[in-house]
Amino acid sequence: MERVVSGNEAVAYGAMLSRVQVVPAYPISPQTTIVEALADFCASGRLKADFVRVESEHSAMACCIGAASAGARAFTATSAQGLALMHEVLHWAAGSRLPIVMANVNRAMSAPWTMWCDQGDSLAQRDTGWLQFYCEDNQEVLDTVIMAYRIAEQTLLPAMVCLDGFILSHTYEQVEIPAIEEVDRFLPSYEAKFKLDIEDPHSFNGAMLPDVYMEQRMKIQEAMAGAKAFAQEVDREYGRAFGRRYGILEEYRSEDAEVLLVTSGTITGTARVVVDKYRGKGEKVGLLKMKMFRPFPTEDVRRILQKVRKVAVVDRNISFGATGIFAQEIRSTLHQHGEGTSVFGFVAGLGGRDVTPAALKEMVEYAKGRETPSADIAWIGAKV
Amino acid sequence: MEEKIAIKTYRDVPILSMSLQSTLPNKTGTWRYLRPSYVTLKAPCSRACPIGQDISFYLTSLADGKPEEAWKKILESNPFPSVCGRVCHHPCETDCNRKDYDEPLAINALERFLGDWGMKEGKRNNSKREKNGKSVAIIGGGPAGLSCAYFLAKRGYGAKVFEAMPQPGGMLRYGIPAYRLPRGILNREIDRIESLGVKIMPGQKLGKDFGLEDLKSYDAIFVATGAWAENKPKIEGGDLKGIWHGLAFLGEMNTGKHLSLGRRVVVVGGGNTAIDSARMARRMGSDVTILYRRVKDDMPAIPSEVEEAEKEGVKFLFQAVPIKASGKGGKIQTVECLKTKLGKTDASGRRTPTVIKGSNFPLKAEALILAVGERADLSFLPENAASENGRIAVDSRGRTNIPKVFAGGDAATGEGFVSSAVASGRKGAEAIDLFLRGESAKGNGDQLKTARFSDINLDYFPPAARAQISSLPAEKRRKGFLEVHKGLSGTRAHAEAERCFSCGNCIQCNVCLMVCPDVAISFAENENRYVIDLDHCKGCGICSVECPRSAMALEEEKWNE
Repeated sequence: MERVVSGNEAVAYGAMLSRVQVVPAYPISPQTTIVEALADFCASGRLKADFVRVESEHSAMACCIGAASAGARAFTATSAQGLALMHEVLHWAAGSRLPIVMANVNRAMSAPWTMWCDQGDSLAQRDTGWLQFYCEDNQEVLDTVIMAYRIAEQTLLPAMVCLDGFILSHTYEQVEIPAIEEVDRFLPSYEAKFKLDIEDPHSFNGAMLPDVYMEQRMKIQEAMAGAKAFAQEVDREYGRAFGRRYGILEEYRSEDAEVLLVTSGTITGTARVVVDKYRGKGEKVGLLKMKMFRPFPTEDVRRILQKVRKVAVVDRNISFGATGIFAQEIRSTLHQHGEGTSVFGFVAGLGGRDVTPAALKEMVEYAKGRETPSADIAWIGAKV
Repeated sequence: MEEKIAIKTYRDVPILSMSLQSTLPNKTGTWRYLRPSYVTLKAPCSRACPIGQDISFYLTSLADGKPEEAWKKILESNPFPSVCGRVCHHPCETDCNRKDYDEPLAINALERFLGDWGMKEGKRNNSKREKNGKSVAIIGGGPAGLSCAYFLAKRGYGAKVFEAMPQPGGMLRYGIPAYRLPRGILNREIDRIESLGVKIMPGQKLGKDFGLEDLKSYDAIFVATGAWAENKPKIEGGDLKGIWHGLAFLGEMNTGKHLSLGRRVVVVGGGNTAIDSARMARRMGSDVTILYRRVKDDMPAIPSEVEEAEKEGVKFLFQAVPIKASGKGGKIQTVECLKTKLGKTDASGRRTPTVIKGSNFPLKAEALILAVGERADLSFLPENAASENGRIAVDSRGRTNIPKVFAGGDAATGEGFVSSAVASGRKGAEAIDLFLRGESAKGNGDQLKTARFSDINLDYFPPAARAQISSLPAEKRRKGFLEVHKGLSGTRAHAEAERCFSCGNCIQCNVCLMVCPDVAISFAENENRYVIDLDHCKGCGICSVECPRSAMALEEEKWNE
């Protein structure tokens, strides 16, 4: 069924079609309409889930952990400070290997007060042991929520599905909403291998002493590594079932590219237009869309970028005192593997500033005009 | 995961840390310094009910879709649910904790619903013990006498009711108008009492047809002769034609003699007899004015009845008293009145009215009905019988000073409410039972704390409007004696019952069980109650704090004792 829905509604449809069983949530702009839509689904009986009104995001995640520990499929959503408040329990969710799926509607961090989009919130959680996916449009949002459950439940790692605040969350697009029976075939009900059982009580997440803690961390890293291949497999399967595929990353007109833009989230859509214009003029400009950020698809990125002379990484985030975070990861990927590739790091669009075709063009021109970057960060669209 | 894990590489480490052993042997209950327990508080409705009915229980049963269980519960303490559900002054609603939240429960209407449900379903509730061979004479077939007979019969006693009037019911039949209490309803409740084996002897008036000495063969006697003698205000010209006493007028009307009193009727008094008389006269087409010496809020009548009278066009004249009736040809034409002013507050909390000299004013009237209170006629009592304030003197258990003789209802307690009469009949039956078994009362009675509004955890109760009771439009009421208020439908009664907080009474809502973080609370099916696993309860107190209705308590653990 095709419907015109907002990004947040697409999230709610994704969760509903995944037959989530427990939804603890705390509202925060721009995530709020996800919670409202799920509450409506629960109230109308379309979704048979326990909707739990909690007093904070920390409690929302704690409640997801409780529900998932008892073997339930749990879902929540948040943004910015709400995600930051969850930080402590995000580690707990990953460490106890619970396949929780959460939507994060990307919003810049405060202070100062802001509600608009950037990726500073979710990228600050990159080391918590969560899978991270970034979406380009509302259709991808819906599809990714469903796929995220498959990947999370297979790898026993929690997954975060990120969508740009307002640009997707509150923008309406035509979205194909799959029939729930078809989703059921793709995503069977979750059977937890280890779960709380009041008939046979055990202690969970008790102390691991220095003799084993490190090995348990290695298990998480191993699961992360496995998640990449599994995500690719799930993506193929999803394509067969529903006719849509995204890959863990996507190359767009990247053949023989002399300058390759690297984007994530909604900037990708704008970049496609810019690339088309350059190609129309015969210039060799291409695009790499990063959908999966955790685990970081190191080998794939390396393979693609090694062949390119100039890489222009667009970061809608900044790691203060360092650089844009995608640029960091990409530079680290190419270290000792891509001496011929220059990585230009651009920071743009913080706190909801528009990243326009002109801004992307400026990045391409900047890269074209230099052999190597003159600084680790080039600020685009900023009053420098 | 039974076996011990040998770890050689990281692959041998389980994905999460989970104990191999069950955690049950770890008796975390020893950490506890607070101990939760289940308690029962008295709901304020039950506290206020003269009969002490377990209202919370029957409303919960109704809300659970078990009307029969609810109906049986009522019949345990009240043989007259359909009557009380119509005419009780319902102090239960006045004290309902929900009044401090949105609106009190419509308990009265729900009682009526359940009583009528039992009738409609043909329920009999004849559970009674084997005849024990003893018999009790009950003098007076009103609500007190019939209630006493009912509870005695259920305990296996032979109960014979001597009734002065041609039919049983007392004030319910000869005092209360049919538009408040249809006679079919009354008859069916009395039938149900008779079906327990109660014998009713109509037309047997104490002091005329028989005396106390004729009842010597009975093991005990219960006197419930009511309060039928009317107070007579001193009015000059009080013997003119057209002057009535309220109960006499109601008695005529209620036995089918429909009297037209004339164009203008003045009713004197502020109690239920005055209101009933006024509304009856209104139904006969008269222009009716109630004259009351105090103000509206001081009227002892049931407030909702006063409201209905107003709706039906009865006029009120407050702070006035009649002093003289005059007329032509021996028939009343004018009532002369005096205005009053309010003085000091008396023992009832109301300000005492005194007449204002020279404030005389006339009221044109073709009839004057005097309804300024009733007394008990005790002329039949033997000389040695003790009386107090014009009533039969009884102790807290209904015993008179004459051996084997008990008394109740308006003849003894004088509270003037149907439910009080029913309660005193039940109390009398219990006292007679103890007396005849040679036992004394056990325990100290009801020591339960009353549940207050602040004991309720409002988070569990969404606001919900009280059920509206539909009534006959005022213009339709004037055409006859049809019942004014309609009953609740099953759906509305169910929704209304669901509003009950069940103050202080566990209704097995499972909140305690669900919130316990230690899964230390379980429901014991065989005992039909929750049990707390004190081996593992850490005494966090969440159950007790969360309990929506304060049916749990938390007390300090006394480990050293």
